[in-house]
Amino acid sequence: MVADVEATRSQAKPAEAAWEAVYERTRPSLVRALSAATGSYDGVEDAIQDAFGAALRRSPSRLANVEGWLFTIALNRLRSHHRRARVLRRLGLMSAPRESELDRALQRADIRRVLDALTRRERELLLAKHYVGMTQDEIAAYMHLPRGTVSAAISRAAARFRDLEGHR
Amino acid sequence: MSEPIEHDEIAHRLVIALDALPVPEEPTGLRATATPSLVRVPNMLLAAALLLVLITAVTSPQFQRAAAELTRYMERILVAPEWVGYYHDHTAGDSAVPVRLQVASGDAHGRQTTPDMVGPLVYHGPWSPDRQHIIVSNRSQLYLGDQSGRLRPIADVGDGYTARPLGWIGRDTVLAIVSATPGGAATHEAYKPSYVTVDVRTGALERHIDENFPAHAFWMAPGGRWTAVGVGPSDAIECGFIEKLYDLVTRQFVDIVDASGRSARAFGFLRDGRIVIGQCDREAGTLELYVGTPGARPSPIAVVPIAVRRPVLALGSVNDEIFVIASGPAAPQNAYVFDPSGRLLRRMLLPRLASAGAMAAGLSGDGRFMSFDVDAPVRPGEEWAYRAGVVDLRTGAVTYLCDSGCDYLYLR
Repeated sequence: MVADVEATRSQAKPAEAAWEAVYERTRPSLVRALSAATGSYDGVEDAIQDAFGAALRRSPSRLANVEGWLFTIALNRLRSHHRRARVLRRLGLMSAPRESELDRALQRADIRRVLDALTRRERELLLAKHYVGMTQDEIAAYMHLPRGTVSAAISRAAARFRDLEGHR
Repeated sequence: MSEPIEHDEIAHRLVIALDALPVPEEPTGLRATATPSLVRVPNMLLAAALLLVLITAVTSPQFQRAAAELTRYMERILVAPEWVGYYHDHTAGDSAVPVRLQVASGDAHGRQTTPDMVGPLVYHGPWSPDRQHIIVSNRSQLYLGDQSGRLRPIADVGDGYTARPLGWIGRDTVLAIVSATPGGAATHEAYKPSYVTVDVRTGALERHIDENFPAHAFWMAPGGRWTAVGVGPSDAIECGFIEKLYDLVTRQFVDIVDASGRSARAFGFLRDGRIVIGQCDREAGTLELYVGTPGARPSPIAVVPIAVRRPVLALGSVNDEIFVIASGPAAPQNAYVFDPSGRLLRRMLLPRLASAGAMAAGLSGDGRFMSFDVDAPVRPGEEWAYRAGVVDLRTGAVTYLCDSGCDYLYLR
């Protein structure tokens, strides 16, 4: 019995090491993509840690697009975080987050104005495809959306993005 | 993102812009621990167990019975009359119409609805276990009646035969005695004692020939194994109506005895098929009550003081309450209500129901109303007559269904 437990632990170690490497490699782009998607750095680090917490039960090699999968999981956590925060703030149980230097930098970025003009879904899909590098099939699978919906929404979002960029 | 995989204009624009955004220092590195699998989280296990228990409870027959009870309760509160009863009316004064089936309800203050059914061979009762239907027969035809007096034919036992309903086996099957109609066209086979079971949903009828089956059986235990055999003329009634039982499985008669093995009489069945037995001791002025399984020695449960030769018992068909009326209808009557273990639940005073005579009683399914058939002079000095009525057990208000000539009231 003890031997079984030890064997399980030793099998777990290589996976953890692999995920640490993934974390080092992907964290900067995940932070940027998630901040751009939600318009704030608030909660982003925790969401990424949560996504890796969910990932640690798997092997990175089992996922077709590791970064895309982590982005989707972290994005879901962030949405929940912001939803909860909105409710708590409405009830007066939580104060508004203080704007950080990072958030101010984000607001200053000229891309921010274009992204803010898109809908939440358009923004997330464009970032998933063109910044995180997910294919439309991966977006459909990870975000649980119909393939046709993804394709149409990305086309619309891209058209709007180009249009907004043209008026910059 | 340092390795854009798609070099279109949008990707280029996003990568250039976003890669310029600052990334905060993260000195702790990957600090996340593996999220435990949901099946290992105690709360999830507890929730799953509770869900399983909930599903098991919801799908259990007990829960469904309780839900049906609740539905009936709501129905009673919202739409149903307080009481509904089918009874026999003999007041036509026409020998060609000796019996007319009538339905009366509390909403109509005892006024009647008359299903289109008259004749010498009209029988009815009892109500189904869920109190939604009553079984009715006229000659060879069996019907289901509802609480508004509508009758729906369900089966025909054959030309020349008469069916007399005896009781329900579960919610969907009725058992009826079959006999040759006097002067009818039945074959010699009809003279063999027999009974039928009918599925009321489909009308599927199954005939059972049983040489020993007692033609004078008049009641059936829940479950359908035992039928009650009466004692015959009322002057021979010692204590209860039931003298012996007939076992449909072994085709044997079983005597009714008390706890010491003495011959006794029974009053009826509880929902689980146990029988309620009484031993009247007129010298002591007591009724000894017993409850037991048919064919076995019963257990004594209570001793009730009686001021009448033959006490009246009614059994609650929903709650198994044993309702004992210990005095005659000519005086305000003491009633005692016991549970099957003999615990006295309450004692109540019933109104005077007649100037003299004897009576029989039954309870509505909810136990709020008592039906009675009383054999008494309507007014002192007049001829004796049968008369049926309903007592509201909460208020003591009495509703008579006729001045004389009505009986066999089966209250829903």
